[in-house]
Amino acid sequence: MRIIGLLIVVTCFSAGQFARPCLAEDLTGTLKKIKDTGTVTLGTRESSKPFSYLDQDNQTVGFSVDVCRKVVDKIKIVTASPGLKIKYLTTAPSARIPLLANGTIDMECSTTSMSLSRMRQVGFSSPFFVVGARILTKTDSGVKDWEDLKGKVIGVPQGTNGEKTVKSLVETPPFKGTEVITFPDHAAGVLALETDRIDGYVTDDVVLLSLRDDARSKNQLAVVGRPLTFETYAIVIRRDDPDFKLVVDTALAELYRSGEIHDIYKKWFGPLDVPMSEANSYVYKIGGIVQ
Amino acid sequence: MSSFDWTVITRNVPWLWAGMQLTLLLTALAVVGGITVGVLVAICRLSSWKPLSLLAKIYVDLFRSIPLVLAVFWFYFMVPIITGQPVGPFYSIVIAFTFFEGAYFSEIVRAGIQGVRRGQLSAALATGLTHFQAILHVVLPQAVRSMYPLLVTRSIIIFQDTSLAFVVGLTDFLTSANIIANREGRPIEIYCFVALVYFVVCYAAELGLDRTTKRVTR
Amino acid sequence: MNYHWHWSILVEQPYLSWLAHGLAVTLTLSGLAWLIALPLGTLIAVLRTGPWKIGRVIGACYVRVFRNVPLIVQMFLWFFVFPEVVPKTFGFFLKRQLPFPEFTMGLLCLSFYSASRLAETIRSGLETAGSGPKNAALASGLSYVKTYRFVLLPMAFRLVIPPLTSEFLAIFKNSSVALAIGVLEITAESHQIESFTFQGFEAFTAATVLYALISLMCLILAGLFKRYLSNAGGLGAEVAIK
Repeated sequence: MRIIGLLIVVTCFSAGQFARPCLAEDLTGTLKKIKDTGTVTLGTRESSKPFSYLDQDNQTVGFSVDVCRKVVDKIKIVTASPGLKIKYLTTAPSARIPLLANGTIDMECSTTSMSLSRMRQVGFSSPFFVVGARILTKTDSGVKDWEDLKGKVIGVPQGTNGEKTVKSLVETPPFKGTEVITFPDHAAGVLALETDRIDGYVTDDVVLLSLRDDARSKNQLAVVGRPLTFETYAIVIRRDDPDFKLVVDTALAELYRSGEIHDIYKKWFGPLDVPMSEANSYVYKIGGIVQ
Repeated sequence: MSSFDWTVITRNVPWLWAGMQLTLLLTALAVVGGITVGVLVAICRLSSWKPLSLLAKIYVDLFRSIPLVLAVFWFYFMVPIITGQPVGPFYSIVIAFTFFEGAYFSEIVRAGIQGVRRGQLSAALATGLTHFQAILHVVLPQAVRSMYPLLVTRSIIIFQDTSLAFVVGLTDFLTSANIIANREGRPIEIYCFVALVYFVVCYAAELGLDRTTKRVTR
Repeated sequence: MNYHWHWSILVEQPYLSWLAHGLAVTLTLSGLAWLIALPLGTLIAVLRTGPWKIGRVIGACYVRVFRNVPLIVQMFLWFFVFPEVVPKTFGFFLKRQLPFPEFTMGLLCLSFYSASRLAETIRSGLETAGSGPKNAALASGLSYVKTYRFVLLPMAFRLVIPPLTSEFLAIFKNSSVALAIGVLEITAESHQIESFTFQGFEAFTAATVLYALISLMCLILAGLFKRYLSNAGGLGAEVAIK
């Protein structure tokens, strides 16, 4: 039954441009649920700038949100529900998985990076952004790269892969005596940097650039160092739903192939003056899988 | 950190006020729900039927032994599983607070009921009231007088605890302040202001309690 | 419900040692906070009930300020605001030279907050003991210090053992708030496990069970202690002789 459903979904894609309606009873899992309820619920964040956050007017916006909206456009075609409504639910990081599991949210659109241990629990779409761990520091601190942080104090956000990376870095002999402080959120981390509590704050480079942009002492802060890791952000979906994953991945592939992703990139990273990284442009080239 | 900019607060008053309204609403619902559950649990606890009082004791001890943040987490995710459909963050946190605070209120209520002299209950039963009626109409009204200060004190604690609503993504007063602090990069000013507001509200409630205690417990 | 259970992660490394570390931090933090808060709370309670007017005012102010601001806000004030408003060199010391800055500040914050709650509990004990013994002790020629030390405080403590037990449990549970300034105690470590593995139910179950077990142990110990105290004198002794 699932295979037949999958075939029908695939057929729908090939006929995508004609927007031929597919029969609702052929849909399974998340797609069927979305069709039946007439709504897609996106799990978002309150302040993960510029990917997923609440703006001045309390609206959910960001790069990830725009990408997810493109996916919803695709879902509209596949489920033949042009009137599909999007519901945004701001979730705390620790709440997202149970909410996904019990069906409250259908996709999580924020800055969740892919990892194998997470894949035991959830499904990921194909990646939509590449980041690397770098250092936010004061311009007068003399810190230019990782070696300069030896014997100093490094701040990291709690529960991120950046934290894991930094903690294993300071366990290597040359970094003996380097202290690591974890912070529950970026605001606390930046504040600690501004008040000289730490010498460098380490997390995903784009996040750092955006934090720097928002900081009061913007001109006294710099993002330095070579990327220590490569991580990819992806949309989080339920694990056992290959039909839905196919729809999401198809939407992303079309978004990359058509070049629309570059418009979305410009919209969010243009103001920050961050050109697209080489790694990122390759993700979009490789991700634009042919029909 | 040389300069402070206090206008960040005046600029964001509408946001903060919206957060405060949610905090007040949550507090009110949690107090009403918590006292209701608390009275029921206390009556169960004082029941002469052993299994019922044991069950009530386990309920109270379990909730009193875990931090509120874990209780909120459990209710947030367990309620949709039990009811079969998501109930939204607002209702789940109200339910979580109701049951969590119910455990604390039940201890206050139990102490209050036990403080009422035994003769009162016997007299009420002798007049032909059922056990339940006797507790509801004779014992509880007397118990409430002695419980009043503790109930208000607990309500003040609930008011402070509603800040945990951020776990489920609701923007209460503290959460909205947090968002503003992140957005404006002025956490020190915002946090001083938040501390001041909590202090003023709670202290005013305490003063109100002192003023009214004599009248109620008379 | 589309959830994939993997209870085994709780005994896998590094997650098992994260939980063990969290447990150790929670126990150390709440234990030390108790050791600081009990004498401090007693001192405040004595000041509040004592003969010295300035002391009464100081005690009352202390209790009001620390009880009426949520603990999480206090944590933030201690960690971020306090070092900025003290003289620069001391601020620098707090930020850079203090060993385990987040733990130390979290401990101070939790202790000062808990002391305000303990002070109220002990004060109620002192007031319940009544003015009779106090006047009797003073009349018999004991100084104020000796009156409190040998007469009033022992009476008060015996009266407030049950509430003191629940206050200790409150400190133990409140220690979880320290995660707001980066102290990696049980709750924070279970969040950590959740965020690396997405196995939130398992991680939070582990945390909940640990809290419940420790609370239960405290309640049992307090029960034993209470029995020991009531056996130590008064009617309890007669019962024991029988």
